[in-house]
Amino acid sequence: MSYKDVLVHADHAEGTLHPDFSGLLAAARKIGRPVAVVAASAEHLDNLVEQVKRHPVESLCAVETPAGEQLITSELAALTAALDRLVDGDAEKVGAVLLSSGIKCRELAGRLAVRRNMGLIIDAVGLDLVDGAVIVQQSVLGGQYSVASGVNHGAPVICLRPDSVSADVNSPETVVGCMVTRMGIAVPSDADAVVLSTSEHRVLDGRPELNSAPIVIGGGRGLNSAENFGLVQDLADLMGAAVGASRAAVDAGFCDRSLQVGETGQIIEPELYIAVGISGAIQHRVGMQNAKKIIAINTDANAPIFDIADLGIVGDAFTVVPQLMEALRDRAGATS
Amino acid sequence: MKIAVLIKQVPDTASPRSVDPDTLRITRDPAEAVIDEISERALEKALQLRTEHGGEVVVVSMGPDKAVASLRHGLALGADRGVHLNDDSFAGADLVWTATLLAAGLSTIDSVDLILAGNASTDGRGGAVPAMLAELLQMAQATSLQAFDVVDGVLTGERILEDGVQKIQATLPVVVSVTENIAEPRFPGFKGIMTAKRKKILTLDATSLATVGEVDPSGRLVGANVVRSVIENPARSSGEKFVDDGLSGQRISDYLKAEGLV
Ligand SMILES: Cc1cc2nc3c(=O)[nH]c(=O)nc-3n(C[C@H](O)[C@H](O)[C@H](O)COP(=O)(O)OP(=O)(O)OC[C@H]3O[C@@H](n4cnc5c(N)ncnc54)[C@H](O)[C@@H]3O)c2cc1C
Repeated sequence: MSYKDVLVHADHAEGTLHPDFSGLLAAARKIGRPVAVVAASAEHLDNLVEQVKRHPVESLCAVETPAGEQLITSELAALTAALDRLVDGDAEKVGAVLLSSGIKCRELAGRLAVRRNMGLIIDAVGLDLVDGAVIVQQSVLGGQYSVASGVNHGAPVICLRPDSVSADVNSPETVVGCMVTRMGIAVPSDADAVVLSTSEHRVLDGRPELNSAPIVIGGGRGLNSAENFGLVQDLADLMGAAVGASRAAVDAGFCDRSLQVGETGQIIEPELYIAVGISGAIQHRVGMQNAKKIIAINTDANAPIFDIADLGIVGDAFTVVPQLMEALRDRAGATS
Repeated sequence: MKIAVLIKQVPDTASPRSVDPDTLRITRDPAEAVIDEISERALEKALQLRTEHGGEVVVVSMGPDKAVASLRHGLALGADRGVHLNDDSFAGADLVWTATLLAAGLSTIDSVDLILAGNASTDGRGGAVPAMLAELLQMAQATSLQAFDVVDGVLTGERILEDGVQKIQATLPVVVSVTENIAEPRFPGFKGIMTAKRKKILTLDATSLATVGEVDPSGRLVGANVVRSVIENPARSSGEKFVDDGLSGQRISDYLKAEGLV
């Protein structure tokens, strides 16, 4: 069985490599030989090459994109050029193209699949190589089902969920040299929007990202106000956790919409999810019921969230959460 | 302004949903089929734009016979006419094939200024189809917008990403996808429901789409997704539940310790 090249997209924000990259590399190594591709303007490219080289990858294609504010077509052209270079007339050489599951990455993946007539699988949670074919695991309908699928021809373009592959156990500790190939592309002529300005990272406040954090504290409408929602943030900070929220909490303006967990928000699978003042509507559960452990704090003993909680506390968040924080501080104090 | 709005009929998120063990697809029954809420929001925005700029709103849906109900719903809310892509061969279409068929359907509508869609459907959740339509139709994409305006043929909007908001601009025609906070959908009134009955829905099947010349009949075969297996995961059960007695904080802390979570 031959091992094929797997093109791994190294996403970045303004020159900082996205943390999902190491998980993508690990997943790629399970199904082939990872070849990274990074696309950036001249301003950031050298720096990104250095960042990529710190990861265990033997080959990197660094594509310089023309200056300009195109929303997506420059990066798409860069990705396409790197793929074409790898294929080099023999589609059999490439086993898959791997991207993260962010909003832009899905769009890049979709357009690349259309452009190069490839199959597309989004929201993968695992990858395997079975008899030379790439098999993709997905978790559908909020984790009710695990689906394994592949494409019937050629190499698939795959978007992998960031929490699905953690440590790169199989990878060599250090790679003896990464071969860097540099390329440039012309300004694409495709119709595109332009980005006028970007405002960044207004919500995380130094907390881990919702979609990959091992612990998530979710706050709901039961918290009553944006001010009280601070209770959830305080607990998250104490535990080094990410903050999530129900749609009702988001709609009420307690927190930013990007923190929404559920059917129309993010689907997460942390080690631990603590639901505070969340009733557990089915559309919320879809987003968090695959957490390894769930703790619920709710005043209503009949709230449906208790049906899926490993530990349920029928009580007022405004008394229980401060108690919990105190107990955690005591514990930390006792052990240090 | 001519606006096409993509409407998707989906199993109601509030009722139990399942995967059919034979077809390996999401069961369309018994879960009640409803118009996806995000489609309603996109349509609402389209109707607001029509009020502002004049023009026409066309609702477009791909789906089986019963998807007509969702198109009628869109007409009752105020859309002017409908286009229904319906053919047995469309069932179970994967992302690439869905985008290809929708693009073919959309290109039967002359001089569209805006194509509006939800950012992701509740049953598929791919979130890639609007961008794929932009690729196929060679239009600019203005996706994941939480707000936008159109002035003198130029769209300006706020694109929301995981880690920030981009202010973007594009010249029409544009494929737009909207997020949940774009608009609150209206409810159909009696008059709307009555007039909807007289509005036209054009049905396009595989042959009529193929004659448009946009669909490569072999396209479906190349790179199509093939489901190998579906495993139903055991339902989650609940653990212990305690009424707060003043010791809950300690109880949770002990639990976290026992599970190795702190
Ligand atoms: C198409 C569609 C998509 C949707 N997508 C999502 C989604 O992605 N995510 C999502 O979350 N929802 C989604 N919803 C909405 C969902 O149906 C619920 O409305 C929502 O999840 C409710 O949020 P909540 O639990 O915070 O609010 P509520 O249901 O109002 O629950 C508040 C809870 O707080 C408890 N409470 C009150 N006071 C206290 C206190 N002092 N201490 C402790 N507990 C207290 C109450 O007992 C209650 O159980 C969607 C709905 C639709 C139709």
